[in-house]
Amino acid sequence: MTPSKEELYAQLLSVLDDLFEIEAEAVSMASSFAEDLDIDSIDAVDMMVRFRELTGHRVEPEAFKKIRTVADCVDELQKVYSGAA
Amino acid sequence: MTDSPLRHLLRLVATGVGMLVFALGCALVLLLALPMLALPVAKARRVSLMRRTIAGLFALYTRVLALLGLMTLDVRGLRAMPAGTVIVANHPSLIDAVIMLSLVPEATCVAKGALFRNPLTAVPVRCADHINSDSPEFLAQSVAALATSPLLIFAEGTRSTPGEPLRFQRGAAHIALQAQAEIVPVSVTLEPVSLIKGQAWWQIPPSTPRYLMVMHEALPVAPYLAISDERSLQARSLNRDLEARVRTALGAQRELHTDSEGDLDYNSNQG
Repeated sequence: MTPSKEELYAQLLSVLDDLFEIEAEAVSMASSFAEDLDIDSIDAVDMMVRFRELTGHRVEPEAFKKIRTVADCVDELQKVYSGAA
Repeated sequence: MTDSPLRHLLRLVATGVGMLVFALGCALVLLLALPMLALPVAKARRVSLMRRTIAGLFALYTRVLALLGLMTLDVRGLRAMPAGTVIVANHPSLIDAVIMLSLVPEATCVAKGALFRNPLTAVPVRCADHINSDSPEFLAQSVAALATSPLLIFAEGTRSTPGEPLRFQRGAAHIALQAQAEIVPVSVTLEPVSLIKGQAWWQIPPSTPRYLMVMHEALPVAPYLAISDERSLQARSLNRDLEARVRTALGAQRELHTDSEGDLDYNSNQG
């Protein structure tokens, strides 16, 4: 069963808090990872690894490279879940 | 205090000569590289030979620049840099790597991709086995290099943008944490600035630049490993402190430049 966007967003917020101490108030769907959240390419790899650990699903690196905003990431996560299902 | 028009013109000519000499030096290294590559010795020996050759040429070059009246060089805190040291410097000018490598010949340098493609620099940079920061493997390669040499990294990722505050990318912090290597912060000021981002070679400064490089006390990374289980948080904290240390040093150095008779009290710069 594919999680809803809200559930995925909440999951993402929790990862952002654990890995980078980014508070929920600082994040929105429109937030850009690089410019707004100060997440660099090394951080992105850590995020991918954490998602895989938490969900058992894997975001392909090529797809991950295209992600710019939180909304992009939520969309991609939804694809990964429904693709795997 | 700016130069007379005649002196300015002489410095402009000397600058052109300086650029030419650099290009000739690169060509010379290219010529030397070919027989070096053919030497029947282990790669490590070849790399060491290439690094020492480049360092020697760079040292000669900085002396030429000083003789031509293009720069006065002042280096403080220079000492042996053992393998497993991460040297992190800010990067105001094109000449930074030339000076640093002349002082630390055995260093592995993290260099941007463009240098690996530029016809003048590609062969020396590859033969000296430096690391391409555009490569997805650059972190792992840097950690591996630390086993046998110090690592030089300009943590801004590119030359400083004049007027912008100092911002270090976290790559250096990640490397130091992963390798558990101590960091030697280096603060570089060049007043008046020259060879900065956005300038053409002939846009020379109003008077002879004074290049001041200070190598500071090492910053151990063990305390940062203890901060958190998350590497991302360790790196953020380490990078923040490293930036602060260099920023403070730069502030003091810039004041020193304006007061040309002054000497720097280093005790006030620690921490």
